[in-house]
Amino acid sequence: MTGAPERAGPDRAPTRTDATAVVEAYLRCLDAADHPAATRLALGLLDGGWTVADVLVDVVAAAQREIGLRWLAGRWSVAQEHAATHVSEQVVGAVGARIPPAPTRGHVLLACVEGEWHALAARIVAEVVRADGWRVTFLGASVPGRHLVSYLHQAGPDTVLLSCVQPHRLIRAGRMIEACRAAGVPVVAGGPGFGVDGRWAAAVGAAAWGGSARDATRLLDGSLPPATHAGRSPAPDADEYLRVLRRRRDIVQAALAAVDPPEEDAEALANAVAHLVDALAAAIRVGDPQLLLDHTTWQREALPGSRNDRGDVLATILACCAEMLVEHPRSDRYLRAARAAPGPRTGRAGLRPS
Amino acid sequence: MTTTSRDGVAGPVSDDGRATRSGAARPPDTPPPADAHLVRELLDGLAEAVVTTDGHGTVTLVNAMAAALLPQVVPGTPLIGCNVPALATAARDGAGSFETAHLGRRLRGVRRDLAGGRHAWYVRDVTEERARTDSLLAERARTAFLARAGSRLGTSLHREQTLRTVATLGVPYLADLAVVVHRLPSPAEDVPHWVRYADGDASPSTGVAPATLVRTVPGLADALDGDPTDPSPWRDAELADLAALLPGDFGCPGTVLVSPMPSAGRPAGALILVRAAGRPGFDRRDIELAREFAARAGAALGAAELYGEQAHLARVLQNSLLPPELPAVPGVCLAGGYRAAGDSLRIGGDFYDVLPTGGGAMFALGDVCGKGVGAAVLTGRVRQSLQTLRLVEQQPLGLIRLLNRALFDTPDAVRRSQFTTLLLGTLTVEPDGAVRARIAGGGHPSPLVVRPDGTVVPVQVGGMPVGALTDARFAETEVRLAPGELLLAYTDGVTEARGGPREVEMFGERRLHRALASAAGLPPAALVDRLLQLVDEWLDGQGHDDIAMLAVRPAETA
Repeated sequence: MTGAPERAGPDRAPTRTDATAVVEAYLRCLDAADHPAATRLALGLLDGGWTVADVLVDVVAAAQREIGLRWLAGRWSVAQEHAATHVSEQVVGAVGARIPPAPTRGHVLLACVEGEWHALAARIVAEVVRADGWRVTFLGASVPGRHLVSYLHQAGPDTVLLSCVQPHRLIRAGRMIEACRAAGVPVVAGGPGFGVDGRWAAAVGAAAWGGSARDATRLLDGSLPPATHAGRSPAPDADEYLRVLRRRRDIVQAALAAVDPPEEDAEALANAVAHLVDALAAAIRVGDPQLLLDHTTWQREALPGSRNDRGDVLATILACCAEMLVEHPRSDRYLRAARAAPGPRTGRAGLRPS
Repeated sequence: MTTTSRDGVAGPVSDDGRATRSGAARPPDTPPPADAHLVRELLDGLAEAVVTTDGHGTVTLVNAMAAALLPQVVPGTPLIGCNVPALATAARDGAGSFETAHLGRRLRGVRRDLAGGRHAWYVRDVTEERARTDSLLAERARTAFLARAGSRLGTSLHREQTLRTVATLGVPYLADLAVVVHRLPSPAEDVPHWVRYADGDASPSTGVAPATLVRTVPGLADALDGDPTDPSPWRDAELADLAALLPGDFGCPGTVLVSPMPSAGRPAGALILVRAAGRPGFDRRDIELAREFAARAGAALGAAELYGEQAHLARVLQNSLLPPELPAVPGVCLAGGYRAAGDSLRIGGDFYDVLPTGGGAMFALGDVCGKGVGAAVLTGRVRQSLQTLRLVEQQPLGLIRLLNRALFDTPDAVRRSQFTTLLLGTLTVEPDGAVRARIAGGGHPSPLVVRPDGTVVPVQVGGMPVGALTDARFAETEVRLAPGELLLAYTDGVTEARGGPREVEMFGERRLHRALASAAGLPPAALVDRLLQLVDEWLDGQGHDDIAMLAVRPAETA
């Protein structure tokens, strides 16, 4: 691993205080959508002896977390967030261009689960892993399963890193992992979509889980023998999650009819219901009702409509799901837990940035 | 010399000693025969050896089979002193059974307690039974190995990965170390490469062998030509030849088996299995198994090589048909977005292209009727024609007319009746930083101008599809993009994407306008990403037509 030795001297080490100051300065560049300034700042840090991991993880990723919070708090618009993310992507590109293009280690394939469009975190992992000497192919945001499989057979990578940020995409992530395992390639899972500490990663067949770019390099340093981490995925306890997914469309229709939202909210609400069904299926797939509870806690704040109504809307949706899935014992149990969960809280603390 | 016990009649002897005999159906009141001679004859007729002891552990009786199998057991002597160690030990420890190899036979004995502290040992010769069980287990292990090998070998279509799998699979079941010697599919070089895996390694290692290896390792040249050779014990003198393939700490190999890995066409390589010095050599069944395994490995490797060639071919074609990386155009900020309809090659009938010119650039965005590879090939033809024709005609309207004629002149054009909707434009940067776009249209959806305040205005172009009619009419229009304004050209795959809450509704122009309004002010790349994301979410996993878009904005003056 690259680490302290790459730095010019101990006085250059990014202590917590100056890292914080650097992040502040970087955020100001983002706020102004000033990508030349942001790039200058990042490259300046590299020149000052910071490693690629230091710059990308401690500055760019840290700033991105702050942006997520600002967006959640309503201080930044979607457009502002997108513009800032766009600047950070260019910065990651510029920092990546400084990495010597001569990999000394194996081939790592990195992809975001299908449906996941926030690729910046994964892009950062790609560059940090590349700086660690690996040959990295980044397939980008929202990679369809078929593309991943066809690429696997073409390139024959040693390992696949799969990013999943939102747990309701776990079913898709699990299918992609299954495809990788079937092609004989072990998968290292990354991101909070596999649970806060990666607790659901093993259930969907991942060989290991990491929460950060530095975790990824550490895990790749270890051994991931294909004999143990490839082949058939561990079988889920029951196929109830499949039966739940089969009713997804019906549930969305029923929930729309029950809530009867204003026209302009219908799409967002339909998406929210579909994601809730996905989260329920994922919770059943990994056997942990907490996945659904986390999701509904988050949705209670994110549903369309006025804040006061959201609790009622969520209750209606959950009741609708329960009615449609009454013959499925686990769904019934999980949904009852979700309906019994405490009502809307004030403030947005504890929310996950998406 | 033999004594007969009065009630020493054994029960049924055929049940292997597993069931307790006391419960067997004995006629309730039949007195035992008093004829000692008859009892003796009955005992000697048994296929099982019978030995009885009295209350002191002294042998009282041995039948004829016992005398044959256990000649060391003599009546009148203590059983614990007999020269059958397993039986003596069992008798001493009060054990209920024993199993041992004795005088070249496999014997299994079971004790039965008799009245008055006496015991009877029933001993069976299980040599053949044991051999059958062992061979059955060995056969099962072989079958399981081949099944595992089959499933693992079938998983990958990638050559290097298949080689690694072959090297690891045979260890430790077949040998302590396996080396696959192979030649790269490209005929340019004739150097043998190797992939090696030894028991305990974390992963296989690879390397290039000296060219002399093939001649010096006995049997390797034959195997690489497809001929099997017999396994050979390895002599020190020959170790040097193999040393290039062995890890430094492996020590002296015991036996080595070289097997060809045949595949369709040419042999895919050779599998060298090495057993350590302490391990028994390869027997006949081991050799058959190794050959079978090598044959399956060869077939898998052959399939991977074939797939590799085909995939390479497809990739080369695909790269020429995928949307290009956009060139840097001074004064203009550009971004393209592309999603092919469900196809692992990711090519389709939508396309865009940007070609720098003296004062700016020329761009094209179009949609060829049809899907998949056939449509992609036509997009390639349209793009190439444009690149050539622009050398003689730089005005969009003139160029689109030329293109129409060129497409008509291609053989089969009429029969194929393939046509293209197209936007073709030039971009000129003006001194104040604005960009002037002249756009000629061929029946394509109108491009949209997005203003910084979120207003979205269609640019009416018109015209008829290209390649459909010889006398088609085309139109041209002009639009000026002030700094901050963005021009988006897109194909109908965007607006006709079906999905949403009811899963059958089209994304539609209204939704597109709204999405663009919310993304006003974003740089082209971010705007295109956002649109792709929205359409993707709208589709929610449903199939869609090809989608292409191209966004143009005057560069920010920095």
